[in-house]
Amino acid sequence: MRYLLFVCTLFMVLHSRACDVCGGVSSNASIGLFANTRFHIIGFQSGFRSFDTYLHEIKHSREQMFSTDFRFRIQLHRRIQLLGIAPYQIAIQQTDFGSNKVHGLGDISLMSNFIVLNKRDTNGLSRHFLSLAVGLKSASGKNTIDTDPLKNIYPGTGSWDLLLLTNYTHQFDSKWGWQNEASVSLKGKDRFDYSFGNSYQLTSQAVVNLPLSRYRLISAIGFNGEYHEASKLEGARTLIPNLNKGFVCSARGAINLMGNSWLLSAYLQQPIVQNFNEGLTKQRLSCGISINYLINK
Amino acid sequence: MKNYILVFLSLLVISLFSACHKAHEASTAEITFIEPSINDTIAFGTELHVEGTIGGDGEMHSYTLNIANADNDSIYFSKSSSAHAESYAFHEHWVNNLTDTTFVKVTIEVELNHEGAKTSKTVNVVCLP
Repeated sequence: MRYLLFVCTLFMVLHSRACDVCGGVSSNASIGLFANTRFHIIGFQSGFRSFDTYLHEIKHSREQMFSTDFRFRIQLHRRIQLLGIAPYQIAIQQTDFGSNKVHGLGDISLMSNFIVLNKRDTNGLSRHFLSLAVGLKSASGKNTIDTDPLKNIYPGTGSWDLLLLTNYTHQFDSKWGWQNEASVSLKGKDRFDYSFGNSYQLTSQAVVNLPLSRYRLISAIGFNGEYHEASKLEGARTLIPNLNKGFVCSARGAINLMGNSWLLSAYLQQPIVQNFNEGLTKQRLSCGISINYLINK
Repeated sequence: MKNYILVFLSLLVISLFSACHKAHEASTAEITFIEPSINDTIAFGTELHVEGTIGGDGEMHSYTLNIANADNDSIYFSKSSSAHAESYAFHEHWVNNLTDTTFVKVTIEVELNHEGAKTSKTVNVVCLP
């Protein structure tokens, strides 16, 4: 049971972080804290994000993105896990003159997670847990040239990206924990020599783990911070300065219910402070739900 | 008890009136073209970039962007919005596919209110083959 509880806490930050401001699924994939569990995991996560875009301080468009990711995790070794995410995205941009819709398969990501520290106390409770992950985001998703005004709502970026991620969890007792994750996504070029800027992400949250009948209810509250460098373009063409550059700090909360090998999760994330594209793009509330099946190794 | 019912009904009536209150309608609007500039030349195959703002002194009812032949009014591009707002920002592109030198007018027309009052602004450009 202890393992099940821990798995549950791990999944709370399992969500594909999109985006280069508002496009390109899974640029900073988040694996959460995949600790030493005995399970292979398979599941789906659906999420919704939206953005408002301003022109001359007047709202010009709203971008809404619905995505569903197929996810799996295979326990290759006691300390090595292989994770995969295959997203599908539907994005709608609404302007005064109508709407545009782009949908398709996003960029598939694969990551290996290496558990470097798992210090347990005499009761077997994992007090300190540290993992390092490295992965690749493929250019498999539907994408387009940067001159396309809808570039940022396409499901793929068109580039191969390197993902680096670290996770640390401190468990205070059987109920309370503190979970942290930091990641870097180093962006490659697409076939048009365009690249989104590298992105950095930090998530930190307090976790409480409570019994609920035959199930466990695990709640978390914390913050998420992201920083995106400006997009780059090689060759003769030039880009608008500071394109897609910016940061966002958000409050986030998550609840998870687990039992009978199933894990149901939901999260909400509300931006508190942000500045993207010199204030032209504003991220709004995002949310997601997921369902996962845990398979005994 | 009667007093509570009266207070409740009063609040209900006030709420209904508030909900039905119409936004102040515009009587005039300022249309600003950021692009194109007057007499810009647009080469064949390149984009005519139309961008600007519309600011009303109240809520406006709709606006239309037309790109048309300045001599015979043939329309090459037209988009309309029925969004009600006190300000709009427009940003559209049209690729010059004309095979003769053509004087083209870019027009923004705004419907200000329910009475049908309108205002417009036009910028002329030259499209080259």
